[in-house]
Amino acid sequence: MISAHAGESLDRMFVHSLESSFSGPAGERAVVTRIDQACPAAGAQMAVLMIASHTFRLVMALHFPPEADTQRLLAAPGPADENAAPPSMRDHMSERGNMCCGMVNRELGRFFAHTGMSTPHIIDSRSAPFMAALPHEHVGHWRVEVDEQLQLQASLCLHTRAPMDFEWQAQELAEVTGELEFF
Amino acid sequence: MAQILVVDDSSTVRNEVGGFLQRNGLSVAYAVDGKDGLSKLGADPSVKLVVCDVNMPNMDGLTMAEKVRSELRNSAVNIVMLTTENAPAMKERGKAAGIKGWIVKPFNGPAVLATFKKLAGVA
Repeated sequence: MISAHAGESLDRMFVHSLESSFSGPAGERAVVTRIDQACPAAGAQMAVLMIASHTFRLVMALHFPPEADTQRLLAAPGPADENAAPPSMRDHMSERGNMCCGMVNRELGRFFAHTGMSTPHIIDSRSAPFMAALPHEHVGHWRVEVDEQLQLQASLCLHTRAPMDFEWQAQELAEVTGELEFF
Repeated sequence: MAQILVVDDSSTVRNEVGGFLQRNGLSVAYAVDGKDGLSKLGADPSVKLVVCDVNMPNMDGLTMAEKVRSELRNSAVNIVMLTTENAPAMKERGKAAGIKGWIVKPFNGPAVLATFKKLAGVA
């Protein structure tokens, strides 16, 4: 129920959002490579988010090692509140996933009405194989190399309830992020 | 006593935004959701600017903005949403609640610092 170029467009959209959302503290972009299967390490967790409309449901998962050092990834040198604990990897991955899924949601919103996005949920990566058991027409997995010490994996799973056809290129990305739109 | 209240359920965002503002000389308070934000704002009338996420547990940011006007009867505080959302319907709801502006994440501190200072009554 999804056309070939819609599938390719969705993949491009997801890869672009991963590259943007996982840029390092100095602005270096993550390297994203397609892989056959997500094989998260033992003990890994995944941040799961969904985008849904009345015609489709898209599930995204980011597999990450919970013990990784988040501070290397953060632009801020430390917690703003001296009494606060540094952000956990769970919180950090939830927010990065939120930004990644948010970009895909905004771009899909150009083609499909009434899309809605979930908040992130953290679950054990042992649940990852069950994604294949979900009804789906399009699945993909990628390796995300944030830097030499941290590699993540990402999965995307689409279920359609109506024919899906659109074409998207990264060059069409018109949005400006980070700037204040005054009302 | 704070000039800016940062409301976000993510500690990553609270640290990133609040840390940047503090390093640039602004005093910052924090809240973890809309309900907490409404309570903190009610308790600290010195806050001039609220930087607020939209999707949060317990109370979302747009509901918080509406309650700031209707329940706290605070029409003076400036509210800016910082969110991954960009849907026109959400922006219209924000405008109706009297919010001042909208930023799509990720946060770009240098791009908004001068404006934030003005909205916080510093510059």
